Amino acid sequence: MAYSNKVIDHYENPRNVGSFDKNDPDVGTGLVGAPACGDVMKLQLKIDDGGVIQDARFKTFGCGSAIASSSLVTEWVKGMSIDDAEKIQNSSIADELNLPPVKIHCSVLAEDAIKAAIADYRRKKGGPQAEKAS
Amino acid sequence: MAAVRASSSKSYFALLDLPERFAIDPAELERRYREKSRHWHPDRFSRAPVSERAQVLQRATELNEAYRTLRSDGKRAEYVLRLHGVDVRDESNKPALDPAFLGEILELREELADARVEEDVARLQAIKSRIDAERQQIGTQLAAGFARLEQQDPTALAELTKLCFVQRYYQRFADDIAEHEEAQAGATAVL
Ligand code: FES
Repeated sequence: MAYSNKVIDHYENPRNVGSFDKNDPDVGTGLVGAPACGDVMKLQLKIDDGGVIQDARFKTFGCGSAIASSSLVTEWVKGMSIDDAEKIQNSSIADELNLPPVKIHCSVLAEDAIKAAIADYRRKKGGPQAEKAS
Repeated sequence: MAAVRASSSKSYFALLDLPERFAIDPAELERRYREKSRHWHPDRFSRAPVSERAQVLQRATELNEAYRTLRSDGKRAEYVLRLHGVDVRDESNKPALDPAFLGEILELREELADARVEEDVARLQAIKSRIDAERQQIGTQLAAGFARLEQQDPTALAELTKLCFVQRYYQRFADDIAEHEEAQAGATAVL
């Protein structure tokens, strides 16, 4: 598999790897899996009272494309409102990283993880229950 | 020498003369596979015309594919589901999995990675046993589910689909562990 330079860069120097305390009321945690390959991803967002994402962390057990996808989105979402972050599409991730068709599901994982993290945050804040990403 | 027909559209079970069901006798599978692969062995057709040899090769390939699929509980389960019209490779069939389950998988993956970094052999062994136990349990559940499916239990299909998805996460572990062991064996051999 020939990875693009951007994938390799994120893979070798992943940004924002790690965890936040999942019990912190300002942290939304998204946990998703790709049954196609059995890989899993955890993405956490630290969100301020204005609904703006202050910081992000991820842990991905998957292929290079999945690691690069999650690393990339943690950079993207910082400073974004959760409403905007929710609109991130896997196709933008795949385009940015030049992912081949067989690796699309890896970028889907990152999109799903953001949505799941935001849904978790909203649940914590008692807001309208966003639909559950799995 | 048997006449060779073009590629068969038979099911993997039919290719090996086995009944189309999940429950399988591994020894029987092994025996049928050996028998059939002897029959379709390319050496037996070395003097046949090129076109026939190509077909024989095709048969031998199908046979291998059938054997590899049926030999693994997980792959066989997915295959039988496909015969029932459910394609688990299709992500739109993906059932909602319990987040707690994914959390457990993530933790196990983490633990495996840590144990490797620390070269903690005892812990690696413990993780491996745990994965094996989980997979065995899934195997038992699959067998029970397919038995119910055969008795036309209407809830069995959805449950089996979910089990097949769960099973993939553990399969991923098993593959990973096997790969890692192979790589280590390779590294030792080089030393
Ligand atoms: S192959 Fe599993 S996430 Fe990419």
